[in-house]
Amino acid sequence: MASILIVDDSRTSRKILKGILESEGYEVVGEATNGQEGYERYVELKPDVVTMDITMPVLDGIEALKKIKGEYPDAKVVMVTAAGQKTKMVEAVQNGANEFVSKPFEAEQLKKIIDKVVG
Amino acid sequence: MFGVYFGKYLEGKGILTPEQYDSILSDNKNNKVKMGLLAVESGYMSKAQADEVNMLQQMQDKRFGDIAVEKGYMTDAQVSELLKKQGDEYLLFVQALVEKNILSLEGIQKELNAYKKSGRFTALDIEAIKSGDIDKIAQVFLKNENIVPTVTDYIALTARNMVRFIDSHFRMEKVEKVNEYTASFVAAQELDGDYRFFSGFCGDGQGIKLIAEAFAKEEFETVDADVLDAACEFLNCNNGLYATKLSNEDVDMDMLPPIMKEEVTTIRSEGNMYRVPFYIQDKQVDLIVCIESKWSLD
Repeated sequence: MASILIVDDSRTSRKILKGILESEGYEVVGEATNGQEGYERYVELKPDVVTMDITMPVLDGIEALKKIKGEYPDAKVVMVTAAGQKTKMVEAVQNGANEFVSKPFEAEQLKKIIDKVVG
Repeated sequence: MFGVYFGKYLEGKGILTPEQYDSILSDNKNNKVKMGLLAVESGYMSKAQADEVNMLQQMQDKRFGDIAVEKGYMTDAQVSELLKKQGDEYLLFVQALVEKNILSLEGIQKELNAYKKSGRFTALDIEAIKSGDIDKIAQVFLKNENIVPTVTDYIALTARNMVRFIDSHFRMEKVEKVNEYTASFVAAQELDGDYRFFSGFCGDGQGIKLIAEAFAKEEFETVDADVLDAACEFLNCNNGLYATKLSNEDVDMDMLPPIMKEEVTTIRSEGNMYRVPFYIQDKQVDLIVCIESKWSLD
C-alpha cells in the first residue's frame, strides 16, 4: 500500500488524518509540522504521496509544494484545505498540486483522492 | 434545541433535576432520525445520493435538505415532509415532561410564560426557540442593533457548526458588544483579506476542552497546547466555511495560522468586538469576534 507523509502544523489534524489513512490501509511513514520540515522529510523519505496543509508557520504549504515539485517534479502532493481557500487552491494547481482534500476530513472522499493520485 | 433552553430554565428553577434534564435530552436526541436515512427510506433519494450530499455537507455550511434540493434530488415539499417526520422537538420535550409527571400541560404553559418574561422574549422569539431550528434560535440571541450583519452571519454559522460537530445540546446566550475581554485560555484565528477579522474561543478552559474533545474525538486530562490545537482546528474548519460563504459574495479572505494562549490574556479592540456566551454541558466558553477594527492581545 502507498506510503504517505503528513504535513500539517495541527497535531489534531495530523492525528485525525493518520487515523483515517491507516484504517484505510495506507502506511504513514512520517509527519512534519511546517512546510520546511515537510520538504526535508520528503527528501529523506520519498513517500508515494504527501498530504500538505496550506496554512502553516515557517513555510506555508504552497511554498513547500513549490520547493518539492521544483526538485522532484514527479512528487505527488495532495493539498489539504479548509473550505474557502479558493485562491490558494488555484495557486496550488498552478504549482503542480495533484489533488485537494477539504477539512473536516471525510474518510471515503479521502480514500478516493489518495487512490486516484497513487494511480 | 428547545429542550436545551427551556429545560435549562426549568432546571434553574428546581423543577427539573440535572439527571432528568440530561435524560430527556438524550432520549429526544435518540428519537430524531437523520435526514439522509429518512430520504432514502422514503424513496426520495438513493443511498449514493444521500452519501454524496453528506460529503458535500462537509465542505459547505448548508443543511442536508438544502443541498439535496439544490442538486435536484428532492423538492422543498419533500424536505418539509421529512423534517416533520424527524420529530417535533418541542412536542417531544413536552411529552417527556408530562409522561414523567414533572409538569402537566397547564404547568408547562405557565412556566413557558414565565420563561418568556424572564428572558424578555417576544412571542416570535419563543416560536423560534420552539422550532428547534438553530438558525432561528441564533437570530433570537443575536438581536442587537449595534451588531454588524457580517458578525451576525458569522456567529450564526458558528452556532450551526457547534451543533453539527461539537454538541447538539449546545446553548448560546445574548451577544453583547465589548471593548475589552480577559481570559485564561484563548484559541483563536485571524482572517485577512478584503477586511480584517478575528475570532476565538476564550474562557477558563473547561468549555474549550469540551470543544477539543468533541472535535478531536479524544479525551484530554488538562487544558494544554493539545487542547488549544484541537479547538483551533475546529475553528479553522468553521472559518473555512465562513470564508467560502464570503467568497461567494466576492469577498476574499485568507486564514492565518492559529493563535493559542495558555496564559491570562486580554483582548482589546477600538471598535467592533463582540462576546457571545456558549454553553457546552454547562461549561461556558465565550466566542469573541472582532471585525474591521484594531485589536490586540496582551
